[in-house]
Amino acid sequence: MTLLLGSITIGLILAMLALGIFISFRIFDFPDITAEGSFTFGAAISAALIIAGVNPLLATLTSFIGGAMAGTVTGILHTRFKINSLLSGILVMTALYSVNLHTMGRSNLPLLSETTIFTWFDKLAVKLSGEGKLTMVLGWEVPAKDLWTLFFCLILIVLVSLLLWWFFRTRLGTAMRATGDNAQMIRALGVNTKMMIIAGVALSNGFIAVAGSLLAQYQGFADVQMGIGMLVWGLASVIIGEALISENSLGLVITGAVIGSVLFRLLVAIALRWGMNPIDLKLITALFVLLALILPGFMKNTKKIRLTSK
Amino acid sequence: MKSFSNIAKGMVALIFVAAILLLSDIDNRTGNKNGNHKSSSHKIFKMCIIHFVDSPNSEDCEQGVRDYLKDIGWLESKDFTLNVFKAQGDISALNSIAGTVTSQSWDMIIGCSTPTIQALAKKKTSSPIVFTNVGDPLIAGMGKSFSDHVAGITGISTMSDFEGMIDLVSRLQPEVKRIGTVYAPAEINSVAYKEALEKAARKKGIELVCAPASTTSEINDAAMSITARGVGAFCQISDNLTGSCVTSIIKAAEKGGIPLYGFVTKLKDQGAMAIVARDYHQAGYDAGSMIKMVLDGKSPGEIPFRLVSKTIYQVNTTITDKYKVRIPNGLSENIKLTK
Repeated sequence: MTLLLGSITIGLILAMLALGIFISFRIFDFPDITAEGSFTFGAAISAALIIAGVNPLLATLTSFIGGAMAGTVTGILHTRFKINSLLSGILVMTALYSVNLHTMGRSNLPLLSETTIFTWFDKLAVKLSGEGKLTMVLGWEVPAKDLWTLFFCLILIVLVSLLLWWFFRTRLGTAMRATGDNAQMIRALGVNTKMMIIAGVALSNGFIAVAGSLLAQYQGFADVQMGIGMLVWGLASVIIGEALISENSLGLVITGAVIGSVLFRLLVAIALRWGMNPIDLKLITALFVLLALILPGFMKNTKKIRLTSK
Repeated sequence: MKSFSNIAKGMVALIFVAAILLLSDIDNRTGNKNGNHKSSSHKIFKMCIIHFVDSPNSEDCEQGVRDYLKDIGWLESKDFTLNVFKAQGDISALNSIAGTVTSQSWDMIIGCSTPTIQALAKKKTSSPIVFTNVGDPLIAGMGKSFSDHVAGITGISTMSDFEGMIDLVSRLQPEVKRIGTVYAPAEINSVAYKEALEKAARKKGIELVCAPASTTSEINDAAMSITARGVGAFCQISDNLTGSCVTSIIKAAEKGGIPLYGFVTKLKDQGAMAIVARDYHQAGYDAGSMIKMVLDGKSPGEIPFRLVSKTIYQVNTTITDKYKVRIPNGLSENIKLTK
């Protein structure tokens, strides 16, 4: 049960990453590799600030700005200097590796005894349900703290999703979506698509950096290697979500990304809990993504067959 | 309405997967727990070991733990079980493993390497944790000093003997004024080791030339850049990254005609001229003795961290001949010479 709660909590935190990747990959059709760098950048900024005694909320917000700055650089490289989108992402990601080391001053910052957002959650949980209390859930004994942390993360991600949903329905947001869908058309309407792309990639990386920041605070350390592989995790979540829910309506896709992220973590947890050889973990991860990619098409086909046979 | 049915579909999938996970976790249900413990009069200790990477060091540590348990007469599956988890150098996989492991109840969790112990320390678990192959547990955030540390965790530090190394270099090659090492800026222990080696070298007036590598593919280039900068010897520090492909450093050193000193026992078979090694097998063995103390009922919080109890000095005379290094008189008194 603790495992289930932990997996869902990490899934919710990484949903922020999925949302960021959804913005760049889906809305702008911009394969942005900066993600792996900005994820760590977010973690590095907030870890360094928290250790320096800055309020953790402020540190998390600063990591959003840091990620957005990294995204801006990628956007400018792509739009102003006409560098291929993949390559500009690679350039910024590579540069961020050094920047991250500089930000932290070393490769790994422990946050075990620092006050983070999650220490606040813990304190709040203690106030709400008492110290060290165990709750029974379906016959499992669970620390009430873990339940509350999960609940707070859920609220946080719902708020962020709503905010994103609202934003993409404003005039600016609609122009952004149109930029990804049909750049020529929206240019003809007098929108500066270059600015839109820069702003979009910045927004995307801001979200990714916050995900990194939250994960560092949750797991208790920031490490310069923690971004490796994150792009695949995030993309997998978005794809699983799309496969399950829908690719059409904005609200559904956002919901899908969040559900996909949690689902993906649960699948990995099952793979681990069943004692699968950890060497195969990456292979299994790849299989999940492959399944998510081919299943929807497969399901549509069977539907068609059913319909025609009627 | 269609959108609701779509979301419902997603939620059903979520609940389904969560149910599978819960079903596989049924052993840990409170109701089932008591039965298990009472049924056996002879307790089988349920232990697990978590590795961050596959490196000779971590293999040695695991073997050391197993050998200690064997030496006190314990048999696997009869007196204890030892599950092995490996994260393949992937932090998110490491976190999942730490989450999985700490959600179950163990008599002992053995954390091998610095990232592992950090991931474990943050998770709340009632199972005791003993670590090994951790360079500097204090830098890793495990406590203020070796005796004043986080409760529930204790273990063995494998901080290398840098002064012993520099001493050996200056006895074998007194003319050497520059030594080199490849290090991994991404690993906190690697950086700490590099700095400690630099400090020890400076005391003897030796300059340390170092080159960073962040992936295994960069190690060769880094090593070549060091040989190009005119060093008299390689003193390769031990960390997770260079530990897994140290042979490429040895090859680069050979090409440059420079002997290599290592901090790891296994290097003596791989072409190092001399080693000053914290014995990683011993690190596992020492951790084994701590594990026994904890299983006997002592709380990990009361057991101070310890340094590995044994350091191995070895010089390979075949290689000293190759590089025309003269072995000074009296060296063989406290240093083992091999061929």
